[in-house]
Amino acid sequence: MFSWVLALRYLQRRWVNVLGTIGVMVAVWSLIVVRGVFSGFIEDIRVDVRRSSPDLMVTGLPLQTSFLVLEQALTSDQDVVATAPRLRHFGTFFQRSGSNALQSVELEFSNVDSSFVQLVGIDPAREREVTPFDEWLERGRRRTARDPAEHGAPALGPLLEVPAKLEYYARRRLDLPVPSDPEAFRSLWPGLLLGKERTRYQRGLDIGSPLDLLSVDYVSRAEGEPARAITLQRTFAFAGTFQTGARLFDDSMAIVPIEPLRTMLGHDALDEGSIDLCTDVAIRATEGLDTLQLQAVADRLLTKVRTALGSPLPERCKPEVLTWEQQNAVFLDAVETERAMTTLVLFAVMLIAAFLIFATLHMMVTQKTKDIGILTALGGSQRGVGQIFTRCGMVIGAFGVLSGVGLGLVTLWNLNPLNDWLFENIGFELFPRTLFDLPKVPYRIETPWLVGVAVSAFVLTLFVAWVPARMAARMHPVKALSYE
Amino acid sequence: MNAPVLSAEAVTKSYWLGKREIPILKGVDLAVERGEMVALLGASGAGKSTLLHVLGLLDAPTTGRVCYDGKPVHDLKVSERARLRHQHTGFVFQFYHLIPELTALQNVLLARMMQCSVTQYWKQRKATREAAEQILAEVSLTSRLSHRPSELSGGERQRVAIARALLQNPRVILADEPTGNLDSETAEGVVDLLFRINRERQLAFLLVTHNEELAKRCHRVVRLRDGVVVR
Repeated sequence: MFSWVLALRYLQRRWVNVLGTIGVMVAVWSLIVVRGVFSGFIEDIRVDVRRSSPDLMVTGLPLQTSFLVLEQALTSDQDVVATAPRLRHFGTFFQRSGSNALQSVELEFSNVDSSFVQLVGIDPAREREVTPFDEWLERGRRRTARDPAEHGAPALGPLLEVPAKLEYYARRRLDLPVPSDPEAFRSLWPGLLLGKERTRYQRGLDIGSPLDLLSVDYVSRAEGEPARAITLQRTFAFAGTFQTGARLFDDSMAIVPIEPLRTMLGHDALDEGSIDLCTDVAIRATEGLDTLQLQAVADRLLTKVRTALGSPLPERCKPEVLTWEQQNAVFLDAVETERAMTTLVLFAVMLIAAFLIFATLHMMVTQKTKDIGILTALGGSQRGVGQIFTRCGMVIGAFGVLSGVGLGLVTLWNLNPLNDWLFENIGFELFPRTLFDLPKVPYRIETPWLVGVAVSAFVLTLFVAWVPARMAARMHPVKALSYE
Repeated sequence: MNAPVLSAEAVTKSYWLGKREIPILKGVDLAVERGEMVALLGASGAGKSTLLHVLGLLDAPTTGRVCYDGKPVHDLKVSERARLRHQHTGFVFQFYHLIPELTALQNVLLARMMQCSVTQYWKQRKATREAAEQILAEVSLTSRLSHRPSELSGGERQRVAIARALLQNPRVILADEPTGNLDSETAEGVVDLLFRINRERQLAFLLVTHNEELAKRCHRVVRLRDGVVVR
């Protein structure tokens, strides 16, 4: 009984203990808020990354791989629902000005303008079977009337071609030859899609505007002859924008129809001996497979791919079948590591708060040495004397944890209004949305985490209170009574 | 025949200063009977306070026995010694030793709380409070119940300390120079109070003092010199 009475009295008369309570509160609050935002952020990222990636991807294929060979092998698996070829290449874009002079197109790439893009050639019809391609286009659709590219989702044919009328007027603006009757004109340029954010500040890039792609390839004209670089050039029409939500994908990719890209790389469908060239194969697996099951399918498919490719495989060629998580492993791991590091730093804040409690309670024990002697003389047990100080820690911890949890939840529930208010009134954003590239700051309250933080903070305060309490309990009563 | 409420038999106590043994008590024999008022006189450093601590089970003797009501208690476990101290002995110190955060009434009630759980105390809280108020009235502090020690005079503080020692109805009170920090007039009042309590309650007292006049008023005087009782 006396330990509760004295613990509460000591706390009431020593406001320095409020510092410990505030320390625990701040640590718990920050652990809940930052972790909550990170979890929301990671969840959003995973959704975006998931949207941008097929279930499985065959990659690391040898040069000159035919899609047909792989398709047969892959579709023989019971868990493969659909496949789509992809052909990756790279290039630089140039845009024609009025006098037909060329100028490079500086497209924003991670806040740095660059005309370099990674091309990914797709078969739109097959791509729709393996990824939410139409959703990419819908999300990428520009809706602002002032935006020069406000033309709605492009009407896309097998070549992603834009409506003939748009190409017709683009040609006329550039003094390129066109028939006199616009109705008689048929599109000649294959379409090209760019990430929405990448073209945000690009002026004069209208739907139908021609973009000249300049690229290189290595070819050898005859058997045994060393390969040499050749330049490749092809005109595409800007067909619109897409947005998967995965910023890395959206910022670095330009989507083009696969056939013109194959033609550029020497495999025109009409040529004899040409193949359905591909560098990767996107796969849609059976619905509802979890990570482990998907990995099992990937392992199975890898064997089939190796068999289909025949042996021996070229040196340094290492085919892989990656799950959607493995395709984005570097990014997902980086974000996860960032979350872990932040959590670690915030736990350090918790340790500092715990040290503060230890210091104040240790000081209290020293100041109360005489009281300890009195209590022992009155018949107080060692345990009872020690309990005064553990109960002080208990009260500090309970107040700190409860207020921290409460404040953390209120902050999360009002995160976006709070963020707006801070920005409008102080010019400071707790969580900059532009950095996250999200319409609002996401958060997710994880109950196990919440409970874990609360319990660990409370246990930690009890532990740091136990150390001075033990010191008090072990104090010799005669020495305590004569302490000056 | 009744055994003394408190006795020491051939008690020695030594402290160690590094490797050097410093003997404080060198075989003390002492008995305090029920209702007896014993004065313990001696010069500074004679071992009076040490003997008081040993008899009050705050410190263990190096050799010898300490008995309460004839039963040896010096070698009990720490927790049992604490329980016995609570039930059998009351302490009054020279410097009052009140808890500054508590009021006079709370300081007295603290004595009852020492060995009670919250529920035990809750059940008897009214009776305990009444008993504490009655004892404080006995020591003329009815108007000072809610005052903290810092708001009380030296004499009042010592009376609160006496009331605290009385609440548990101990068998013996060990008083270490209870008037040593008071002016003569206030000291006189406190001494009168102690004698009145002794008379009315038949409570044994062991009073450590330097004051010969006070010692003369006691039933018996025990002189301690260099750790030995002298007649």
